[in-house]
Amino acid sequence: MIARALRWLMLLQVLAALGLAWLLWQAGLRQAAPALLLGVLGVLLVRALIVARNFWHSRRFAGTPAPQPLGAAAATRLFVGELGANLRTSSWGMLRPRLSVPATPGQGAPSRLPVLLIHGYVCNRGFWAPLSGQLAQAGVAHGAVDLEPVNAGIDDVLPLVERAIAELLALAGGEQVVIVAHSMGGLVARAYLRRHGGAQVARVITLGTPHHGTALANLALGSNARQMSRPGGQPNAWLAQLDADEPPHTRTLITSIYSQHDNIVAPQDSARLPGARNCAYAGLGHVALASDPRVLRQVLSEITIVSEVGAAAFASHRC
Amino acid sequence: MSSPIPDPIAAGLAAGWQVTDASTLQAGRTLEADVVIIGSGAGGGITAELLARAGLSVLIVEEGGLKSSQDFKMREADAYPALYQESAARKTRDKAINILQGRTVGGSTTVNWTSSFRTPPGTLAHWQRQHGLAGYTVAAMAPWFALVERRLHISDWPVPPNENNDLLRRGAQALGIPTAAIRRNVNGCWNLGYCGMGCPTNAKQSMLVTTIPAALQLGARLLTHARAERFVLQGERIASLQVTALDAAGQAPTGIKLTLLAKHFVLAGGAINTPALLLRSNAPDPDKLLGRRTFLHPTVISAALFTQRVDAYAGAPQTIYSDHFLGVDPIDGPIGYKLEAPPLHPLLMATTMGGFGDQHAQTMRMFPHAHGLLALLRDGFHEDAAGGAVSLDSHGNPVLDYPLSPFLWDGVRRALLAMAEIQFAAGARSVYPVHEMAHHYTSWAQARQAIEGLPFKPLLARVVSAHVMGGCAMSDDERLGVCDAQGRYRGLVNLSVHDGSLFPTSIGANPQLSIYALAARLASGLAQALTGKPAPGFGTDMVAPA
Repeated sequence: MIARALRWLMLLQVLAALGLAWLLWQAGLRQAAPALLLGVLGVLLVRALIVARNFWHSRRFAGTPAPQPLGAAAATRLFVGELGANLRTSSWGMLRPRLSVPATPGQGAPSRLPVLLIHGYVCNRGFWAPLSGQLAQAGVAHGAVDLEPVNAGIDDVLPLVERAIAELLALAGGEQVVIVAHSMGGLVARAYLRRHGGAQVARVITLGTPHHGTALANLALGSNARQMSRPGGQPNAWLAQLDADEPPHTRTLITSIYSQHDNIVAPQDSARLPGARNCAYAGLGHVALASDPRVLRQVLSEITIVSEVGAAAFASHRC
Repeated sequence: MSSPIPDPIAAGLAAGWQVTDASTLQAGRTLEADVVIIGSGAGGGITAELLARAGLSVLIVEEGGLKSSQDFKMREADAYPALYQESAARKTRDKAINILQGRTVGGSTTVNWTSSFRTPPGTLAHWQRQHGLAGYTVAAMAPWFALVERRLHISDWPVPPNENNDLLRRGAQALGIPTAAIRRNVNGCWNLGYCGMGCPTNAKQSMLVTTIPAALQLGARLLTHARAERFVLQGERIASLQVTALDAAGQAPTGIKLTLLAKHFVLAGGAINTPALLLRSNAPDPDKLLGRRTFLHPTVISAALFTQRVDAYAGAPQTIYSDHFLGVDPIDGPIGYKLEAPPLHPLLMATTMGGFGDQHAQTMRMFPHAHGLLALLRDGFHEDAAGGAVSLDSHGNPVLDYPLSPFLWDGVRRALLAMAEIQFAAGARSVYPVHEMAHHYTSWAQARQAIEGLPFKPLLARVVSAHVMGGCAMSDDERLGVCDAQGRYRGLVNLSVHDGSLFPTSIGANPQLSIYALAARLASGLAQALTGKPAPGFGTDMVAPA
């Protein structure tokens, strides 16, 4: 459904670019190539303005401590990187939602635990193209969920996660998976642990997850957005309950990777989860987190460690 | 199989960090920086990152080597010679106190047990009252604690305590003695229990994996196996620092000398080496304060055997404490002590336990059932607990003379009694107060009678320490401290001291967090003074994009 909507949106953008080119043509620019180029640039400008607005909005609710200040060059890289990541996911990757498959299934790295990918708000598995490619290259079996309907409450999509874990274990063998989740997907993973416990999950790695909500969700639609909101600048009741229900040993299963300059999670500190392993990066946007080479390297190394050393290493007092 | 755990130091070196191992140098050289920092432990590490972030060129000098997670094999026999001062056998002049102190990049933070306490309010109040430190209120320090706690992931530890710590909690609870949980500077800790041998998973947020890498990434330079010999003084200025290169084992000089030039020097060698360097340099000391009032938290140990396995080597080493006996008397009354549990590993346990031959072997055979408690005596708050004095031997090496007064021995006796009672209350089969003339006692009544009757003298009761503090006290009053409250050394315009030697008394708690916060405060002030701009603070865990 997301893929279809995004394809329509893509068509709309193409039409808008053509329309703009046509207007320029009418206005006297009688050369096709420059007119088309300007048309495309016009659409890109609108996309850039949307991303800029998110940065502005997230900065307003940054809270304390304020994110580390960035120089002009780093700030430009942050913005351009995030815009690029946005375009690649929402105008390409998620239009054709598929995962890469390890070249020799079950042979590349048989000792590695299989990985389940859980995307964020209003996305699909196509979001994971960069990580999926790397996992396939490393020979790691992996699967993904597509969280639908897009506005469903977080607890309502848990059966999808349960089924996906069962399918992945049936495919790859073994007893446990590693969950890698982006944004809202991290809350889905924690809600899964609350309902089903950690018997089948060796580790949860969240990327840019608003563990304590985000001010930007206050304006978004859907039950899930409400569950990520911060009414009055505080986590909503659902998040507070999730926090209260989570035993300390579950926290030791979680790695939270986030950016101090996230443009969707605000305050950015919301991704810092006490008791979990927290890793903050600087100068990365919300979507760019899932394709940044350093982040992907870290995700792969965490999957390797937990596969080779065992989940017990991270939490030798699992109850 | 190579370790799947990424080594951030190896990665940084591969990426071109400017690290020079002085043992490899074939010729002497002169190096120059805005600021030379001597020591890479709690004080030096924090200072290095903050000054580097302020845009200053920083050169860090470390006597130890650069060892990192790939070297940390959880083996005592490797770790102690490689990572500790004098192979973990540094001693006071009369050999009555054994001192565990780090000597590696990251200093003691690389090998400590992660216990993180803010400076107790009572200690700060005493400093204001007695030591001329009006600016060191709880409120004034709170933001600096918050800053470093965030940087070093200091937070509550979510995992249940291991049996070694839980026995302290249960025994104290049975006696109505309150205990509390210790916060730790860890991020993603595997709960292994080998912190003292260097964290093999890089979870411990020591200087080695936090501030030093951040500073190096910002272009700071690090010189290892380099012993700061003496400052060359020119009037009120330090003209240069003379440095001796040590061999790869970090023991003997190679004969190569280096000269370091800087606008400003920050001395952070720890409370024994810092005053020693100043003594070797004939630094101004009109009131004969330098090296005096050096504190150790003299620590005594009570070992117990339990029917069940304790496995005191496994799991986070220190997670439960009790400050009950710090509060029984006024802070400047009979000496108080803090109770904690030490991790027990075979080598450290075998060398710390008293006794010989069969008796010793018998205790070691019970190793998995052994439980340890320790009491840290809060020295420096009473005239009869005035600490020790650092002086130099004929080779210029520091010697700490630390007399153990009857006032301290009174505290030792009370501490051994309290620990034995707690261990019996927790169900101990026997308790052995670590003292050459003591035995394994099988009841609280028997232990009490025996401890009351033990003679308390140096080398009879085992006294150890892992906390060195004082010797270069700071004070607003120049008659009380060689440094002012900003850590500036009086009489030398381009020298600051940023380590635990600034403390005018002991802390009454494991000192790492006190040193981090103090160094953050002083380094921020120094950065502003040197650059004319407000200090920028810390960065993230992960290195900013290049």
